[in-house]
Amino acid sequence: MSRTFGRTLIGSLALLAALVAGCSSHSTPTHHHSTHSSAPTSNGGGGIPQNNGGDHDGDNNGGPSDGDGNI
Amino acid sequence: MARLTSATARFRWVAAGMLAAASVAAAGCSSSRATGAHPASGASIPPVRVLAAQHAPASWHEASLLSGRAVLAYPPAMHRVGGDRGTVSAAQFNASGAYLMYINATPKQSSETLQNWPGFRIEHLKEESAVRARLIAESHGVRFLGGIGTCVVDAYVTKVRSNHFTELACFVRGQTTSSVIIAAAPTASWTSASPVLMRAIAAYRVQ
Repeated sequence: MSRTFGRTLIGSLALLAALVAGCSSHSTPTHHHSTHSSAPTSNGGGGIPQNNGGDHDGDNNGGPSDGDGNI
Repeated sequence: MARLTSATARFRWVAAGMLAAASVAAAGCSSSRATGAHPASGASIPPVRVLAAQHAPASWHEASLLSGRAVLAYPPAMHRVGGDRGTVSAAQFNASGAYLMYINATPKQSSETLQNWPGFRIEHLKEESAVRARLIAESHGVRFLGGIGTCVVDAYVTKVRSNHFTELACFVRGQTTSSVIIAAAPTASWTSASPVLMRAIAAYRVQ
């Protein structure tokens, strides 16, 4: 029983560690410091180009997002 | 026999403790995912506390879009800033050039609707400019001068420079137009900035 108990304890600890590790991977912010291309982005739908597509819009440079519905 | 019974009891207590700890860890995962993106299905989202639609004070400036069929009003402390063609934006900056307040009106450009606006806005932020975005509040059937809208309050972190912003963003449908109005401020100063931004939203006019 003692050996079984020990194995169960180790297995449970491993399971718990895996859950915590998985949780951390979701909750940690991933700061992609974007390397935006200077090339204009085509929207394909006649929309407004982003990624500094000639307009130097604030939301392409860390400013607040505008109401543009396209990428 | 007594020793065996004691070991069995100890095993059961430890196993129960492990299961409880695992449940807490799993719940924490679910919680962080729900608040880091779109809320989990069925989560209760509070309504947006918007002001009743009313014309802007006489001292405010106005800028029109959609050939004059929508009009954005903004306070004297803000001034026009550049933006996408066909849109109007105004902002106020501090001495070092950081945003204090930002407001923008943009004609409808994609598949946004009164119905899908909350999810659309959060997903769009994440696709375009935010490393993460979180829905805080939403309201449907918000009355505007000349139209009706769906509004959300959300908070996001920009991909570039990791700036934190909170915004009130509304999709507004008039008789002949559909447009989006955004009012944003740094999250740290949202509480002080939001009254005037909400006043600007309340003064948005559409046809």
